[in-house]
Amino acid sequence: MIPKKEFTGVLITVIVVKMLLSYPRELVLISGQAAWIQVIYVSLAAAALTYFTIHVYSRKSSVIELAQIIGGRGLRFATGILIFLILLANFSSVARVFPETVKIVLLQNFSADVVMIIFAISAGIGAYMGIRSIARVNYMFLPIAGAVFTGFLLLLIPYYKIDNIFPILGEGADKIFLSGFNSLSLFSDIIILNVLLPYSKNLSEAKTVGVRAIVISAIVAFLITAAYCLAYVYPVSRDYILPVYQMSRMIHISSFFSRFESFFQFIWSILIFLYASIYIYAMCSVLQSTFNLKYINPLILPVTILGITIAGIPSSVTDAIGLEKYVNLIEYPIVFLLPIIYSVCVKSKEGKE
Amino acid sequence: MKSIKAAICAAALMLTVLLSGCMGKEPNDLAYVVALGFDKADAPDNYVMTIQFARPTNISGGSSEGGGSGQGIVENIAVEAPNIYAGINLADHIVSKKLTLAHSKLIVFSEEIAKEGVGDIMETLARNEETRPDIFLAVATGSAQEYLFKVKPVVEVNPARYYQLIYEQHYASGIPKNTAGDFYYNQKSGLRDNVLPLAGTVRLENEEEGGQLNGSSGGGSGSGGQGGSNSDSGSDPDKTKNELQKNAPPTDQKFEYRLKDYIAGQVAINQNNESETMGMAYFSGGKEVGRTGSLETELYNMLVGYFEESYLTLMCDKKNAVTVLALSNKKPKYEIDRKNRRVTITMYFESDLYSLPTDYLAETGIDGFERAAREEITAASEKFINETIRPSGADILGLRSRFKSCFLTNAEYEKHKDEIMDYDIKVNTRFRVRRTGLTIKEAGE
Repeated sequence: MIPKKEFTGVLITVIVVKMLLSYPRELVLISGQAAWIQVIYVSLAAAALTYFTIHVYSRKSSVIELAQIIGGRGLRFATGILIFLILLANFSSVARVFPETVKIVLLQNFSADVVMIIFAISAGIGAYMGIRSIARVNYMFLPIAGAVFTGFLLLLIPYYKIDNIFPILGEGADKIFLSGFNSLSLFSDIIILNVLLPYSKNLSEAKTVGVRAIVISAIVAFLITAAYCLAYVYPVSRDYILPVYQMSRMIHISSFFSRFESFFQFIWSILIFLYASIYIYAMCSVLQSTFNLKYINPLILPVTILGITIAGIPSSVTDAIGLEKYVNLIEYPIVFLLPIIYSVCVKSKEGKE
Repeated sequence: MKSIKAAICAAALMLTVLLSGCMGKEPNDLAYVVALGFDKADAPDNYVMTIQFARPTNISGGSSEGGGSGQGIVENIAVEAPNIYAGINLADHIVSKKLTLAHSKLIVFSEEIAKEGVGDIMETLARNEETRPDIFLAVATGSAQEYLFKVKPVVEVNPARYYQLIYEQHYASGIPKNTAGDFYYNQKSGLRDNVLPLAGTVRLENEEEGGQLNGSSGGGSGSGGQGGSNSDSGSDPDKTKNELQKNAPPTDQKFEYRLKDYIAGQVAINQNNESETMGMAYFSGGKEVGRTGSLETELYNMLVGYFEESYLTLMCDKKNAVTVLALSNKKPKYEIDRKNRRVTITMYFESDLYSLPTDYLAETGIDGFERAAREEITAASEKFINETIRPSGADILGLRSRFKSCFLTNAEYEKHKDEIMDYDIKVNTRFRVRRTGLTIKEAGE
């Protein structure tokens, strides 16, 4: 079992890591300088969906196990493969964008492919240590990340310009509330909670974990997006691949302290390694429950190789970011609706019986 | 199982030792560029790029203590190239170490390039992870190369720190503050037109006429120096007066009474470091459209909120000039009245009395002095806005960026964004004397 606080930490990491990559830019591309309003809106929508899911979810079983109850082995296989593909797509996009951005900002003279291989080996080793170990390390690391993040937001205060968030509705209310709904994909990693449900002590604890993770991640996402909107004038904010990294470069206190990005790069790298380990473990866990396998460890190597191979398919960072956008669009309805639909089906089936 | 985990942990620990390092960027193998200069070349679409890099062995301790007087702390080379990276590539063949822009502090553009627009260079720099957003930009009063060749810090031996001190000092109100980051954001967003400090060189009366690298600060593209190399200009024991000093126009306004409106190159009479920074060039649509001297730059800093503290000399009545240390701890307030098509700018200052004529008793008539000071600052600011800025069409006060808040969406703002440029601008000044220095005089003394 994973203790409640550690489980919450796992979910916060998988949700928030996206914000450390190019996600804030995606939000700005939709609603301009009103991206912070969009984050509040999608956070409320995610909280509402989570609340509804909790309300209808009555078993400590993952969607794959619910699929078995509803439609037998066939539906279980189909659901398991679908969930696996969603996780694989999420993992692959991070596994591609991360080494490329490391090459851009940190290791210019180093091959991105080598970074990707080191990344895969580290993530694989992490997954091999087991989810409890990952959750514990993650839980130990989050306070450090939180402290750096808080310092980061405070040091940025001199660079915030209130004029930058005007006009207050940015590209318009329709963009924020209609097109912006797609950014619900920010919280699509909450599917990890469902996949790792067997590791939770009981259903009620899992529900608490889910709510806490959504709330904390929403606050972090809001703070990052608001800081980005306040620090960079629109449309300049449309251009940066790594908004948080870019903001960290702004910070300088006289000539004594002007490289805050080195702190950021440390936090950023560790969080992404933790993210990758959690994801590889979760993917293996999905395959294990889909095919009723006894052991999980033999799956780690093939799943890691598969993830990295798929990550290598886009020919450039531009393609990888573009592909990530489409993946996000497809996955969030599945991630949020599947648990609700399956729970309702299980309930009605149990009612009939 | 336990032994496998132990082996993995041991391997991971080994990797932390083996993988640490500079990854092909050994500091000893790098040459740190501290400043870049761009001049037009004779060939079309080419620049003469002056690269100034530090000579760490000649910099003792990295601070102002110790070391010489700027002798040999930097090396300048000039190459002709179509863009910055092509120039760096060429220079890498001349300098034994790899040039890096990671510690660049200053980019100087020649007057000619500033007038044609520097947007392409800025776009290139914005993409590079080495260059930082806090690099300072400046426009040379003549040739950028000449300025860089003549920079010779006297009291600071670290060239990067020298530029930082010169371009970031909060008590120098005669230059504007605008970094590469701000320049790029303003230009890209179109919400505010840019201003850049003027960098110039003095012209000594005993110098030979026409020497490109020997002092002329007026005109000249500096295209004659490409491919050359020059270890800083060295001191000339025979130098006398700065010929350009007398070119600075005297002012008749009461604000900064009797102080000449200097631009870079006109200030010092006799000095070892022949480079100066003063005044500003202002841009419209990315191209330089005008220049102002130190006094109007000071007014600009007051109007946009960059003025922090400086001595002001104000003519408070017909015969008495009073010097105060003015401080501005509060940003100016901009109120936009769309109905009456008016912008009201309110500036806030507090001051300490520092110098006044012996027979003038400012303390007894402090209200009158404050009123006179308010009127002088307001009049000078309105004159600067209406006679200098508005005819050029430049929005250096950032009226558009403030006007945005009157609208709900970008589309609405885009429809009306130009109307703000026709609004009347009224300036209000809040000026208080808070302290009188270490003495206080009373009537009857």
